[in-house]
Amino acid sequence: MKKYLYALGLGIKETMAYRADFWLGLFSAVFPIFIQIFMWQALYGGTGGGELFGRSYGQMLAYSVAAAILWRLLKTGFEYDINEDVKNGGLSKYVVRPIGYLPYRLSCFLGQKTGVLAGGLAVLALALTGVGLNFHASPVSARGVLLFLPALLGALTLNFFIFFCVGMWAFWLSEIGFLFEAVRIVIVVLSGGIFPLEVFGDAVGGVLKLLPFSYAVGFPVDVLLGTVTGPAAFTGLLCQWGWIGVMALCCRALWNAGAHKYLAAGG
Amino acid sequence: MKEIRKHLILWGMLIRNSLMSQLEYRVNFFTGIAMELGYFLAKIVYMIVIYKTNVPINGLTPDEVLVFFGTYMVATGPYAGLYMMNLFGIGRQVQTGELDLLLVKPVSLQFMLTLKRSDLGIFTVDTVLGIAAVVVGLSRMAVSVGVLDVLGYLGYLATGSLIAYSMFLLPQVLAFKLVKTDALAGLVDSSWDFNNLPMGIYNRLIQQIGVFVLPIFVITNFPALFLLKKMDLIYAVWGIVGPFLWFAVTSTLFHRGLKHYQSASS
Repeated sequence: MKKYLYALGLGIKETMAYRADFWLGLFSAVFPIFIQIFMWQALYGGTGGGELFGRSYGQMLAYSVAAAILWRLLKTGFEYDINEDVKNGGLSKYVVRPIGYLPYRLSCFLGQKTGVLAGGLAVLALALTGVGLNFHASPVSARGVLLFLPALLGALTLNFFIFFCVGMWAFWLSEIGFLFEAVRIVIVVLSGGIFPLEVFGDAVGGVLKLLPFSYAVGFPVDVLLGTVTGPAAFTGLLCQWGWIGVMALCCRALWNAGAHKYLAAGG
Repeated sequence: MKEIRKHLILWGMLIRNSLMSQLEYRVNFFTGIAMELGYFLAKIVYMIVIYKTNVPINGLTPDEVLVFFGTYMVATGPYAGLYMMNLFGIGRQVQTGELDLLLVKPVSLQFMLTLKRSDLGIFTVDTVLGIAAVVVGLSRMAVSVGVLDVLGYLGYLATGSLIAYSMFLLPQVLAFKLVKTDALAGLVDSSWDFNNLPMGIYNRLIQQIGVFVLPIFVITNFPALFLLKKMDLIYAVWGIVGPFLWFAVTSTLFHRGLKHYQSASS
């Protein structure tokens, strides 16, 4: 356990070392948020202040802001490292060391995200305060924040396992960089990272909500904003951790299958 | 004129070389197309929202917005497929000293630095999807389009691409001085998506800034405005003059910036 705590510490140090990169990455959320604010302003202006997709203008803006920031906070990147390890023989060192590859990657990821979330959640709070001040009503309640914390932890863990599975494709595919990006952008859409899933309609949106991706962004944002409350929130949390279990099993199966294909390269 | 012809022939050869090297790594070629389709999905969601609400956006019907969106995709073809990857690579070539090799070639350095590599897969996907969106939008409105409309549209697309090239090259000029400009390049790149929706969604001040100061809206809004016959005279003139002005200024600054270049390999 001590070695994984050490890996977690390494992850925190890494985030601190590249903090300018993190802040600039977070700043890149400003443009899409800006575009969405004006788009929703125009659309809600056309409805005469009514609801769209079951949300008021204030709720929709709060969702847009929270989702745009949250998916950037939870964004992975270690799948490229896994690809490098598989392609260049870096995986060999984990074979001879008394350390599991998956728990090591998980520890590093959680360490990196500890640093990121410390700053990022403050930005999220500021942004939502801005939305609240604009509409003279806070989009977030104390109960929402309390439920959001376990949902956030679940989203973080789920995101890790989803992208670890994606990273495992490196065992079978030789040229994969673009594919990671393709999968990432599709997952962002399917997770509600751009718009709430209701925009896809009842049928498609309903199906998308059953998939694991919605628990990675849309669900924690809805919990935070109080759109999902009470028993639905607890059921959601159970589903989220259920998906984490399923994805963890998928990771294990893919790792076992991939390890048989791995050929150590280099001296 | 002779120089332009020489560079055009060279560009054709460079594009062919890029295609040949891409086809050597076919999986990468097709995953590149998959990535572009993923980006298309992320952008078409905006159109899904607009059609689902069926609310006019500041006087534009959803079908008209689709024409703007399609034009944005068409312009993304040359941006993502022909020059963006080269612009992002300038910083790396300055850092590693690879620029030295290009400096000694008997062709324009700006040309080689900014148009050397291309990705026809990405170019084709964006352009074809964009044209399809424009055609669908126009046919739903039952708008008749003549030869002059198409020529004007293509003309404004070309000048829009020229202004995009100039605007997105400008921050890269700093690479000669600052060496590392990755974060700035990423930030500027994300501003491309301002064209995802018509400039009509923004207020008057933002529109004027986006047309005359940092002319990001000229790139894709002007061709669509021309096609839909909604273009003001001042925009029609600025859409022709502005891009050449920007190109001249950027080229001048590029050559001035080059004087700051210090080879990293020597």
